[in-house]
Amino acid sequence: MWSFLNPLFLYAAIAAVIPLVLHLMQRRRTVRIRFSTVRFLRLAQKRSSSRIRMENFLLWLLRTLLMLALALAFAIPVIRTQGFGHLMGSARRDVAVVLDVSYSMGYESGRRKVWDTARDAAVALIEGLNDGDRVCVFLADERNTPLIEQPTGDRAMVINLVKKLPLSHGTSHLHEALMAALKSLDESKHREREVHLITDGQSLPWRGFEAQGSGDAAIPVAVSNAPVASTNTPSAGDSESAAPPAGIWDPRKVDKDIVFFALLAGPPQPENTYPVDVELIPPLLLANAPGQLNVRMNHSGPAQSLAATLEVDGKEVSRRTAVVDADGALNLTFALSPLPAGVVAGRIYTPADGLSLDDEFHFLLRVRRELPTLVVGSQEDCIFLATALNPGDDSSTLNVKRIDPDTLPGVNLRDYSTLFLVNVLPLPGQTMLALENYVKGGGVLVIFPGDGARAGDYDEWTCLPGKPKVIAELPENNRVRYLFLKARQDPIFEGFSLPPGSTPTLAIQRYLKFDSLQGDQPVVIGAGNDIPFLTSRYFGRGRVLLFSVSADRRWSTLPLSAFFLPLVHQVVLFGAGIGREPLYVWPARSLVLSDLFPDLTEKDTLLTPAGEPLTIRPIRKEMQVLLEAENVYDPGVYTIARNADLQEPFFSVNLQRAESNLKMIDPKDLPKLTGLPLRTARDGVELQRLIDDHRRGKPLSEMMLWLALILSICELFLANWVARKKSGLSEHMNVESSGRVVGGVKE
Amino acid sequence: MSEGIASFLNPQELQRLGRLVLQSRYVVEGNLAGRHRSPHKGASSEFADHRAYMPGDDLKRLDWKVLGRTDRYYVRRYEDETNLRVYLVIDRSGSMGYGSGSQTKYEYACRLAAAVGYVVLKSRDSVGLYVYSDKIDMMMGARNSFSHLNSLLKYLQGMRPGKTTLTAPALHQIADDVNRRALIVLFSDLFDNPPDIVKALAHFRKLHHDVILFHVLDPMELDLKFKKGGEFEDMETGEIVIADPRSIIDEYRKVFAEFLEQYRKPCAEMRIDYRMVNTSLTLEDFVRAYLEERKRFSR
Repeated sequence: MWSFLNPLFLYAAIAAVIPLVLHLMQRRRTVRIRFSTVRFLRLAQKRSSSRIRMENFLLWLLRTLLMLALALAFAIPVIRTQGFGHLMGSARRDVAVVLDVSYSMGYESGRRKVWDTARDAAVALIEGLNDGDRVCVFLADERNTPLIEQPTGDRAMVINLVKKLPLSHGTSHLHEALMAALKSLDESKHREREVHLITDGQSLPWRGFEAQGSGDAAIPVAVSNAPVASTNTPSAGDSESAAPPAGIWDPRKVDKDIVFFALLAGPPQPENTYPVDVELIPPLLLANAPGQLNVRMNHSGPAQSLAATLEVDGKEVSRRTAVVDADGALNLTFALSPLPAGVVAGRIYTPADGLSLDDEFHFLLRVRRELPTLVVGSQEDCIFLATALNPGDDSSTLNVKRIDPDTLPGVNLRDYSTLFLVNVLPLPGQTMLALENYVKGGGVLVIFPGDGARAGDYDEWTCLPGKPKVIAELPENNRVRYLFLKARQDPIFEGFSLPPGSTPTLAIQRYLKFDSLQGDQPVVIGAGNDIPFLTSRYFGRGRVLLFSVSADRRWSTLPLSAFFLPLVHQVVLFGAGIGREPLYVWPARSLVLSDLFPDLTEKDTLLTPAGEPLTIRPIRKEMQVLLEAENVYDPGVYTIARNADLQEPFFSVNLQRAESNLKMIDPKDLPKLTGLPLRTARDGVELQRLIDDHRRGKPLSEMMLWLALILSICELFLANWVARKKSGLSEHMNVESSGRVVGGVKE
Repeated sequence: MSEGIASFLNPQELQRLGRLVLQSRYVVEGNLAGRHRSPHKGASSEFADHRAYMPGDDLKRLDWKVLGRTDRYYVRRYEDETNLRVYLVIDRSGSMGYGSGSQTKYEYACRLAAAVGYVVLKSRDSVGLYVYSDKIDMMMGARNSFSHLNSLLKYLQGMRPGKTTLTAPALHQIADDVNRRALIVLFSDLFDNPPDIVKALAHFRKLHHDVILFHVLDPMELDLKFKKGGEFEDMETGEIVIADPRSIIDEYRKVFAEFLEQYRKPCAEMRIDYRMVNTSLTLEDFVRAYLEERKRFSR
């Protein structure tokens, strides 16, 4: 098996025709010599023709071989043979090791972790290098961290670093790490190059290779900031929610001289059961009210029964068992007893299995005592809203207070999580400013228009999603409108559902007509395509919701519709924190805590699950100062230290479960998937054998140069021998000065 | 420009050659009394043999001692001595025009012939001349005078190497032409069919001629020491052979040795004095060495 490290010089092999060309040119430049007789020449030539042809052929052969040997020497050929490899030594090589450090490498098979096997294989690989070889190591984690970016010959240092490597709590992207490794080997074109991918054989890290130029294929999970807005969505643990890759894999850009090895160190049929996500019902848990926790469980491996235990505030609350299909998923429902107001840490865990890192799922239950709500407006204007917010049930946790507009300046707005303005515009400037500050501080302001204000009265506001151009009237034949949720994923609809097949319908007589709206997705609910029914704008840490119709029957039939009550209740729940304070967050390099917990201050101290302080630093973003924590990777419950003795759960972090789906890849698919001639091994021994088979061989440059030297010596000898000064006849005859030939003529 | 012998030999060479003698190894028939043995019995002091007395014999030649011992009559006979007739036979074929040095083989042969002729005349012997190529181009009888030598050398001076050669027929013709025993001195490169030439030489020997064969060769013909190859053009036939002498020198040496042996061996058998003349040698040294050796072997 041949390969060339410098194949450009193969073109120099054309020089092999030079001897022939020179020979032909020399034949053309013959001179004419008059000689006494040519019959002896002819006879001599006849007798020597075969010998001369042989000599010429040998000379041509030697010179051609000499040229070829020189060209080959500079092309640096490398021969590999299993038969005589042990006699040939090895070449200088640069080796890149791409090490999968995702948490799935922590799978324990028997008494040994896959990670131990992988790390030992990497160490053995590095130890097996010769003097002059160099190695670089890249970690296929979420950040593709280069452990040793540039190839180095200090193997002891690299081995030491590899031995100390911990597993990450994230997923891996082999294609990105591989691209970084290939880039690092770019400078090593005149050496042998090897890339070793050491992973557990799980299919997920290889999915990045599927992109191959399209960039729109499903890519495994990338680093994600906390999925604040979609914490409770069922897809939280799926890879489909991942971000697009940083780089796109293109095997055509890979140098063909690089040799690739892959060690799939994981077991061929791993089993793993793990909780993926939890969903709280109702989304906002109120004090002394029961709840329900839906837990989504996934399973890799054959069908079996699984068990999951719910633990709340450190006490086991409930346990469920179920039978799950092979590579299946199921939902388990746990009943939650009424809890006192406050923040309570919860945990779902499964019995220990091969991959223990994902057996736990942490979450926080934030139990509200009541939902303080302020309704500002006249009794007449608020009659429908007040009725909707006070259904007459004593057990309601809604604490709704209505005041007249003129008393608004004397109210401490921070005592309320949600504020309804019902036909109170226009308002004095100071009041308006106080309301805007309330929103900036995290409050939710809901505005219902009314006949008391003109369109121009809205112009003074700076926090509105849009400024109405006019209060428009709809013709009678066009008043019936269907409402539809234009932003279904908006957190305001967290836990909100309509009866299947039902469509809210109402008749709109008058509405606010906007010229333009601000924000990314200002329309939350639309009434037909032309009327934005409910618009929204984030302002500071709070949010403003602006209805296009009034809260009474004068503008529309909204108060009379079945949609009205759940909608305003949902708004109150949103104002109380639903959708903003998540059950858990995903690991992130930087986590903006201010978005999640508006009450957090720079003076607060956060502690990691291990009890170590978590650094919080302020960042400036869009004229706001936000608090951000870095390297939030450790799963568990993070606490806030209110004082020396009191620590309260603050948020919880769970591993992204993409790596937990232990679906193994077929090694036969890897060459097609990656576009690389991968040599795949299942264990370290097999990998070492493959490496040995490959490395048996060496560049033949030196050998070619020796061959060229030998050939040139042979050529020199033969050419001299052919053109040697041969003795003439007179030197073989004994002719006396008198002309007598003594002893006859002997040639 | 000098003419005659002066154009071939300078005075110093002539002076040194004047003391040399060309001796015939066999009996020759001359016109004049000389130092060479004659087939006839005569009045010299050299005893030849006895013969039975016959009436009419001069009694003073009767060997009385034999008569006293045997009572038989025998007369004493003595060797007759005559002068030497030397015929110089020069090949002027095209190949003789070749010369790798300052002179061609033909020029060398002419100078050698002049030297021999001069030595012959100095011994009061006669010298004649035959020049041939593909036929006999010139023929001059043997005379014992320097003017004759000069005139025949003038002829030689005016002749140039011809084109082709037919040595054997020319030699046969010469052999037939020389009717009395003489010394035939042949100057040629003998680049012709050896068996035919050997037959022609045998023809001379059959007629009891003494034959000296100067095989005139250029050193380049012997050693083929050309520094590079090329197209070799035959000076007689015009044939062209492309060859690299360096690569065929071994075979050439063998071929040429075989060629020389085809003359040397028959000449030895026929007692023809075969001499190989390398034109690189100094003419005077060669002539001196040869004549002294011949004189030594003739005693």
